[in-house]
Amino acid sequence: MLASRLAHDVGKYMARTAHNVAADKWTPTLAAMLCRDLFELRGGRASAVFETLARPIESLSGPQEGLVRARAHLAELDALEGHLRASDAGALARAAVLALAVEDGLRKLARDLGKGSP
Amino acid sequence: MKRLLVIEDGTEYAEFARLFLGSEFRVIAAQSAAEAVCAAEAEPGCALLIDLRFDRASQDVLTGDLDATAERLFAGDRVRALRHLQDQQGVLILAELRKLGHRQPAVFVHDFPSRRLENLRRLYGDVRAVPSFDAQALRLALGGEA
Repeated sequence: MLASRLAHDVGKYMARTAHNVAADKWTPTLAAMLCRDLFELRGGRASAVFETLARPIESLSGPQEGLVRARAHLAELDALEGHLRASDAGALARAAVLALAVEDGLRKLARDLGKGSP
Repeated sequence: MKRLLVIEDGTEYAEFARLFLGSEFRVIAAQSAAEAVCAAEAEPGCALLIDLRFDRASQDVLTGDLDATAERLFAGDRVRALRHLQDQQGVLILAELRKLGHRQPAVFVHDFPSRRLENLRRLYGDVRAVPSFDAQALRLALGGEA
């Protein structure tokens, strides 16, 4: 249940724009939308929402490799924020890759831990 | 142009739909069961794109009987019942629409386990799901061009 919520509230929404933009097709509108996905999710930055939801999972289920990887990706995304807000093409392409990786990893974790969805 | 009724408690789905599906669909937004019913009556036959969770919706706009849910599922615990209504609001809104005779395809962006999706189809007919905000997959699910 908790892992499913994490996959939904963080993974699904942070990859909303990343799924649909080719690496060299970023416009200012799309870059701004990606920034909202990463830094203005319901509840705050994706990394902050992640921590709120991931910690109870770690408390209940112990360390999870999927959470460790996602946390590292989110930290890299936070470090890219200035470049993303400046519409840096390389940063946008990298951020899209990271966002999709977080979504994929969290969805896999939810399946492995929960075998279900609320 | 085809019409798409987007039902959610925020604006993320509608923003996504207008940007990535807007060339095929005219997007109509609703943020509660009452708004969804009004929009479905005004735009009969439009496809449905529904958010499952309405975490940001207050109790007064949620559909579903809080006290009955608390008694039936949570031994009278109204806090857990409210959470349940929020978590399942998209399905509850779909149930309302089906009761009123709206039989068009309904699409969720959610990674439903297969048994859950089968159950939703038994209860509510043409229910489809894609696991992520993938516009191409959603176009297919909504019956448009991939």
